[in-house]
Amino acid sequence: MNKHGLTPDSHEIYTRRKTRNVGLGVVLGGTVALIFAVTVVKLSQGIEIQGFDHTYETLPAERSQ
Amino acid sequence: MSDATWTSPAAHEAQFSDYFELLKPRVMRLVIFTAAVGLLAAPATVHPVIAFATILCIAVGAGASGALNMWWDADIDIKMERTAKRPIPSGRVTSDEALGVGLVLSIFSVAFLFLFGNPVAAGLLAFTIFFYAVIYSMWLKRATPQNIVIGGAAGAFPPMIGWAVATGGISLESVLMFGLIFMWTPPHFWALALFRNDDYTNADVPMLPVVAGTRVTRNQILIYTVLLAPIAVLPAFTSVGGPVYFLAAFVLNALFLKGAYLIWRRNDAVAEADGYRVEKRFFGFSILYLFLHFVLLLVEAGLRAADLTLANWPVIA
Repeated sequence: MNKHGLTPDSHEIYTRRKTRNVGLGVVLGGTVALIFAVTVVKLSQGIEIQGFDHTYETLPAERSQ
Repeated sequence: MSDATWTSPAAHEAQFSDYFELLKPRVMRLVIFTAAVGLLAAPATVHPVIAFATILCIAVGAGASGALNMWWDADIDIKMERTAKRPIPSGRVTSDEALGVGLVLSIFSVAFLFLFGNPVAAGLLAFTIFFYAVIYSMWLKRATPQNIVIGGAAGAFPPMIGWAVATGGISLESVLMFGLIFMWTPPHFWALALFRNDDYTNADVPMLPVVAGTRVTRNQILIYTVLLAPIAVLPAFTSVGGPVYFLAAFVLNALFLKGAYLIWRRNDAVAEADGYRVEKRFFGFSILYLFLHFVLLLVEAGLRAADLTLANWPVIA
């Protein structure tokens, strides 16, 4: 806390923009979670993986749905 | 002296809800509902996670086109009572920010729909955004009284996109769902325009009652409602319909036709005398009318899932 009553991390802009920062955080976190969930579902529906030396590629599965 | 003195607080710091409002949440609700019905009525089952993710993409894409529309229309929104409180005209969000939000979310929603769903669905969503933001907002809205007719197509795509997520294609059923919303939009909005005429006049938006007069508008409402009725009933005889849909749609369309006939029979003097009671009731009913048609499609999907179908019900496709 310095003489202005501010710690290095407590600028008033953080208060003013709190809903923006929290909202954006939730949106980004949600996006990550969504991609992860879809990935789990798509992989568990079966996907072909074709292996080569030192590398591999995924092939689109026969659409089961 | 801290450099904090250099940041003078803005009149209003944009909050998250202000940006969210750019996406037209009320329109988004309708998009989510119709897209979900399109997806659920389709003859293919979609994993719930994929269904959730793809409908979210469709909703965000529709919201993005709403943000682009608000960016482009800020100059007329400020002149209309109905829209003057939107984030840009009320000074809560700058138009540059709205443009940024609209473009970024457009690109992300289409890209994610491509990855989560399939190319047909993503292509339809991209076309919808382009159609609403460019063809409707930028080009037709201020140029022709047919703006509502053509703009309605943008609102009619979501069930088709939901159907495309499930089936990977386009078919008669999804085209009929498109046709239902497409033909419904003109009578719905023209009824509104009959009693909110002043707004559009102030903003120089060439709505039909402003340009061609209310007599023509009343005629057009009746014409479109007559054309709408068979399109609304026809899904009963496709793979998404059945007797429940047929009976309920028959009643709904009879009521809608009656309302359109009552509007057609009146003139402005009569309407003003009772405060546009018939027009307002027709407008209110039009929302229920569309909602119930899509609820009926859900009901039929539920009945099919429970194997409660009539074996000899005539199906054309």
